[in-house]
Amino acid sequence: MDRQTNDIERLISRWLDGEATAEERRRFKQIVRDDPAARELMRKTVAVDRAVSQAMYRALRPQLQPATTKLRIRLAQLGGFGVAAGLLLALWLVHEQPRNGVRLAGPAQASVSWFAPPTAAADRIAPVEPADERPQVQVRDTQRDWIIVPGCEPGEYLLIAIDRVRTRAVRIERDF
Amino acid sequence: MSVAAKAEALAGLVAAARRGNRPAADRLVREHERWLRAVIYGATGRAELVDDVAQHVWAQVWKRLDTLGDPRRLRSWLYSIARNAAIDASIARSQKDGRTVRLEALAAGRADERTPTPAAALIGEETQRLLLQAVGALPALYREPFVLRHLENWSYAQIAEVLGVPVETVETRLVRARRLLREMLEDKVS
Repeated sequence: MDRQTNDIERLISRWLDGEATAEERRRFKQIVRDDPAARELMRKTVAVDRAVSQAMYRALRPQLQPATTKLRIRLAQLGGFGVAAGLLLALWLVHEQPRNGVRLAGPAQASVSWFAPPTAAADRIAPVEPADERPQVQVRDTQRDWIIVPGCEPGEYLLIAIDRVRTRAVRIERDF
Repeated sequence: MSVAAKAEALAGLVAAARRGNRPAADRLVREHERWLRAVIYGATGRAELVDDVAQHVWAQVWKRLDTLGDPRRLRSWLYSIARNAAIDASIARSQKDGRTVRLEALAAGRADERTPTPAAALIGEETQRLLLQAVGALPALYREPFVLRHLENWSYAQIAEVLGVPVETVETRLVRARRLLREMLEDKVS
């Protein structure tokens, strides 16, 4: 590499890093304007510099993102939680509350039970009185709000609403 | 704040951290963690090592804080701990997976036509890997100032102070880092 190219490289590097003096910046502009080879060298250097810089940021982003960005992310997270909490509150307020210990079961309500957190202990299932045609099972000692028991036929389920101490079969749903 | 006042504040902070003052220790971490991570990356060239090494570095810092004589030299002291830990981790990892990247190997792959051309705004995964591989292939001597310059936006004087070398040396190393990267990547980055 000849001395002139070396000088131009150094000038480009100083210019990229914001370390060039006013005189160097003037000389740099002139060289880039007059010399196509210097212009090409600058174009390549800038392209590589930016690409590598972006790649490093992408690789280390969670570790090196500025504090302001972290703060923004945290605020966005808090905002998200706030919106979610608001929606849940609104749902709870408009939802029909149980009055006599039994909710009116329906597909929309049934879907709640699908996503309810499972309890640590398994539900106890006991046989019922022979006189009852349905339900075929009883569930005791559970903390769940809703329990789904497979029915006699495929796609048939027994949906049970649990209200503290009382257990009652509400409705049989098919393929929900 | 004057230089003397800054030095005094720093000395107070270090002394408080030494006494086990939690807020002072937290502040030290907040003020120095980012650039130490950049140093670790600069020394190893491997992003996946940064988290583990940084944890190790801070453990070392708390263990050896009493050995820091002059708090004004905190930055250089932290740098030497981070750099040594990074080099140790890098060697250990290289021995473990037996994988080292060489400049020649990277240059040989330059004519690979399967490499996609990156869009201006979005760097593809393959290109991302290639760019990081190129950074990893730089000699640590050149990579360290390059990483500090790009990730921390430090001036030549700041880099020189931490590395303990003249400003001209920093400048030369940055020029050489850019030259090597350009030679490795100019066909792949438009």
